[in-house]
Amino acid sequence: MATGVRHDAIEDNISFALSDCYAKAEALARKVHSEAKQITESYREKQGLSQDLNLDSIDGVPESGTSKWAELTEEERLRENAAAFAALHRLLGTVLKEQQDDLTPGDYKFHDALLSLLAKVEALAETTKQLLLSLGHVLPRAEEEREEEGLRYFQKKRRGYKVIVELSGWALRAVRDFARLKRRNRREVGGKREVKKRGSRR
Amino acid sequence: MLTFICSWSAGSETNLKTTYKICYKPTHCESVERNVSGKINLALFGAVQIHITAINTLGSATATFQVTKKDITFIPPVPQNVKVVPDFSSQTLSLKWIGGVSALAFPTTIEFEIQVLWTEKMEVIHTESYAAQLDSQNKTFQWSWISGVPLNCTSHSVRIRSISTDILMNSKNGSSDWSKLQTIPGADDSKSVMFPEDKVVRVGTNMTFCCVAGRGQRIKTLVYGAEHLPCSELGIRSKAITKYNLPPSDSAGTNIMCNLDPPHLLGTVVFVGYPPDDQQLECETRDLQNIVCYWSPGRQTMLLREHRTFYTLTERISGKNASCHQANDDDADLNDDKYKCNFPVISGQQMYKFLLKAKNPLGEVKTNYTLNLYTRVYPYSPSKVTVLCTGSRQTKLFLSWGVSYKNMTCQFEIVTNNKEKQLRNFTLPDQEANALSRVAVDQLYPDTSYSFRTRCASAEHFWKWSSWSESKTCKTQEEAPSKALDVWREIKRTEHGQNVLVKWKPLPHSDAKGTIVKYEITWNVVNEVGEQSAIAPVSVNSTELHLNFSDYVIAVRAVNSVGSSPSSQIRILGLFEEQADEPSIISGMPSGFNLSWSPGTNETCGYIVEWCLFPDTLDCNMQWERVPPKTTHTVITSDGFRPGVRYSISVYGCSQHKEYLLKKMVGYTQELAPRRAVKVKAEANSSHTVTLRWEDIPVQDHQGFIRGYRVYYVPQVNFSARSQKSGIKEVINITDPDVRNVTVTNLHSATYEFTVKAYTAGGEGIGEPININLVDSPLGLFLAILIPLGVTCFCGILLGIFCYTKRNCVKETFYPDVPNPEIHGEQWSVVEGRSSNPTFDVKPFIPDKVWIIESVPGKDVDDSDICTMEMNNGDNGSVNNLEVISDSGYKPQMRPHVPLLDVNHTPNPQHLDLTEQSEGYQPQLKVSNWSVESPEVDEASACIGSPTSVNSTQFLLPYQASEEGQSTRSSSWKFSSLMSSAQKR
Repeated sequence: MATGVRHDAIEDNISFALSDCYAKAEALARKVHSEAKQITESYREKQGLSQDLNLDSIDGVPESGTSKWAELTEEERLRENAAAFAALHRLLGTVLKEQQDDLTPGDYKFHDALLSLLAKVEALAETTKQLLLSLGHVLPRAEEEREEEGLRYFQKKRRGYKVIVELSGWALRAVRDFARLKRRNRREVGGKREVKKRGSRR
Repeated sequence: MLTFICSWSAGSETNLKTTYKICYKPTHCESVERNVSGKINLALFGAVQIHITAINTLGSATATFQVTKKDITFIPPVPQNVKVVPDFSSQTLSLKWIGGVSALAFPTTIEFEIQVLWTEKMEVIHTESYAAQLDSQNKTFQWSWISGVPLNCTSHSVRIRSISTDILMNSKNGSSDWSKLQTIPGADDSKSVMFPEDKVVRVGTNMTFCCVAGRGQRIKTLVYGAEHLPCSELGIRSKAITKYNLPPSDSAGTNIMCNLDPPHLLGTVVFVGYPPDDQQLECETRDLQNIVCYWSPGRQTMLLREHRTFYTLTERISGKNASCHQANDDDADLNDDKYKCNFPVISGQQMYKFLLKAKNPLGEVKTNYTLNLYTRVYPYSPSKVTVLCTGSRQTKLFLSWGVSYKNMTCQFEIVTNNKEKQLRNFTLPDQEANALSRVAVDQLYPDTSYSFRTRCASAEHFWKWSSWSESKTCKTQEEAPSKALDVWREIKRTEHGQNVLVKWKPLPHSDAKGTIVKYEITWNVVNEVGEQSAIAPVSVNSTELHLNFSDYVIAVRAVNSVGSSPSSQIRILGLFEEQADEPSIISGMPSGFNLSWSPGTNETCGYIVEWCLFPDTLDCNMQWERVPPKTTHTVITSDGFRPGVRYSISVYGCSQHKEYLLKKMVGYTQELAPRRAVKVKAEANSSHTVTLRWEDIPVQDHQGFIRGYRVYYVPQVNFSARSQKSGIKEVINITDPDVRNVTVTNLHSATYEFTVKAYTAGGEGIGEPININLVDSPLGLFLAILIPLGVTCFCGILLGIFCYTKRNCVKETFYPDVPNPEIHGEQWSVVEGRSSNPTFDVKPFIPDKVWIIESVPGKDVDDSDICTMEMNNGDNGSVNNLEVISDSGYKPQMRPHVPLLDVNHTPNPQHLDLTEQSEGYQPQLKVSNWSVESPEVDEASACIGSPTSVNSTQFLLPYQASEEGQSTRSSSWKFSSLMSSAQKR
């Protein structure tokens, strides 16, 4: 009996921790989306890019637009998110370096904004990874870093733009995913409590 | 001898083998087999006869030609070994070729014509001539051309040929064949690409960008930034735009983008900036160990990071490079907008020659600077400054530097607490590092805070002052006050003695020489031993002494921490009454008074001028001013002087034993008009004379010296029909300010308003008007009535008497006798039927026409109530006008109160037959004689509205009357007709 109570308490704690983790991840994703959206505009203006810029032919940036998302399980979604944020974090670091070195040297305010976003994306990637581990899922395979040398200025500009646009898209979808997971977790905790209450009455 | 190639046509074809023989001199013949050309050698100095003989088995034929130099065309050789080398980055085509072997034995001038083509379109895009000397050697030539269009954009081909231009040859200019096309292929079709890639160009250049579509793709748009430029086709797959006069780009460069179909975006970036513009290189040393070179970057290059300007500073004597980390750091923090490099001083080297190179992708600039180390010393400011105030008038400063310098010239800036600045120069001998140098500073004021700072420069070769050192402050010590106080007194004598208010002025800081802590007041009776004293705190400037009527000497001294000031004495003469003449009047200025007085007989120590700043108040705030001996004028000024205030100023003479009143003066800094009205009392002496009396205005309300009075009087309102008129205002000016009454004469019987106003130099004051009614005496009134009445009665009586005495004459003149009518029987006969001489049938008068106009639109109600009735009795000139008062409009039964026609009246025959006579008279024709209804017409005609015909019952209308008017009048007429018929009935 005592063991059963203890087991329940541990489960409750895990549920609470998960709920907290979902909430944090959701909040982080929300912030990332908001900041990325703002940076998208200023990035576009600073690089002299048009609004209807075609980003299709740029490889190496995880794309948020997919029609198959509804078909994925929650685990798959989490894994996709974790992989995407890790990749986007790496790419955003490159973008920041390119801005500092070549494209907008001296625009320290803009670099600070990118740096702030970079820190948040890193936290989001880490949080998503932690969630996967907490749920006992397998982590996505670490993507091999591709050395892309000799990119022309315009290619750098376009890729940077795509990275930020996609980051905004991924973050927006992640907000929904984490919110859904949070709700489901609450329902599960609530359901378990209801069952326990009924059992104890009997 | 030249070798010429002769060629000819064979003429008719033959299957037989033909050989040719060319003879150009009788003795020089050459055989040519099968060819239709042959070489001949001859000197070309004149006309040459050439015979060409064709020989075959059937026979021979000879043709003869005469050839001159002009007929011979020199054809230079085709350029050989033509090679084109492209440099895609610089868009340059380099061409190399060999001129070929000339047939001539001597060098000749030729021209190479070079053409560049877009291979795909075979369009010649550039043609250029290249002049050269051709000789027998295989000489190599080279030429290069920079393409406006990147070479990758499309395939470029080059060809070249020779053209003879030698004048000596004096022959036709022949050209060789073109060399074989040398083609530089453009980008292949494996993928879409844009050119040029990431170029850095100078502002203002023209640049062409192209987009080359890959296989299966098509170019949709090609834009420069957001600018759509005209697009030119280089080939099927390649399009280009040209941007002229490129503007500077921002740090991220300007994008040129190419949109393809199927959707794909290509782009390239161009960085547009300037070459380096660095200038004003200047080098100096601050510590004789390092040389620092500064320069201004000049115009911004607009290029950053890898395209930014890189600097190298070389010392050419030693061949060493300076350290330019700061200048070459991309995030360089410019000091005063200048870059700098450091170069360590080389032991034993005094002269330095620096060369600065500034280079970026668009160019390089070089600047030189030669430096003698000891002439360009810019010292640091002292690293340590200490100030020590050692006395009341001097101080010591201690200075040291972290490095050693040779002789230096220095400056002190001394700033007092009053912000007064003073610069003093001094020199310092050779200065060892960290050694203290002492500098004495004198001529300072006691008890004064000074802040000191210093700067130095090389004494031998002045170059620059160092920056100022930090400020150090110290305060000099105090001294005893140096001057006696300025003391004065105010004496109020009472029954019991005299109250003396002793006043003094605080010493200025320059005289106090320290902080005054108290005042010492001592007094003693003259020629008596025994001194009394009192202490006044520093916060007060006066003290009151209650003394008896003895003569006193009062002394006051100011005391500071070091000592007291010299004693300042005044004498009080107990029984001495100060007397002076009447105060004289002085005029002032807005700022004060300019005073002068006659010198006092006993004056030995100057004069004292005394006045009250607020004379109207109890505490008059006594002020005084000492005037030096022998000076009998002064100007007293104060911000406290106000206009319109009477100031009393006393001048005292100062002698050894006493101060005595010399003169009194009164005056205003600025006179104003009196501020109080003159109160007047009036007394009517008769109906024509009034005496006015008034009181003095209080002195404080004068606001100036009263110069006189003005008496204003005016008869009051005179009521006439509906209008009110005032009488004319009269003035009496009284220039004697002491007059207090005036008698005004020659007045009429009316109500008068009197006002008396005082005036000063500042203007006229206000007045209080007073009214007085002047009435005639009853006797006069009676006389005025009775005298005309009496005269009238007297005249009446005289007339009565006259008429009575002449009554017969009057009767005959005015009332003659009337004879009685008499009819005799034979004269009175009656004829039956119609009388030939009919008597007039007297009938009651019936008016022909009655007009009653109830109302006339537009007229006043009063007028509308009065209508004029016009009665026409048939007599042209006799129209009876009747007025009918119509209270409620129409009153048809009202009989006009009109006398009937005289029974004796003989009718005018014209009236007996009205219809017959009616045609002749048409008064309405003269429109101007009558008027339509209008506000301007008189009431009668306005009521009638229109004239009427004397013989017509129709109401006559004016021409051009409106339809509406006609109808209105028509109805009026109907009504009048009705009235007429009713009357007849």
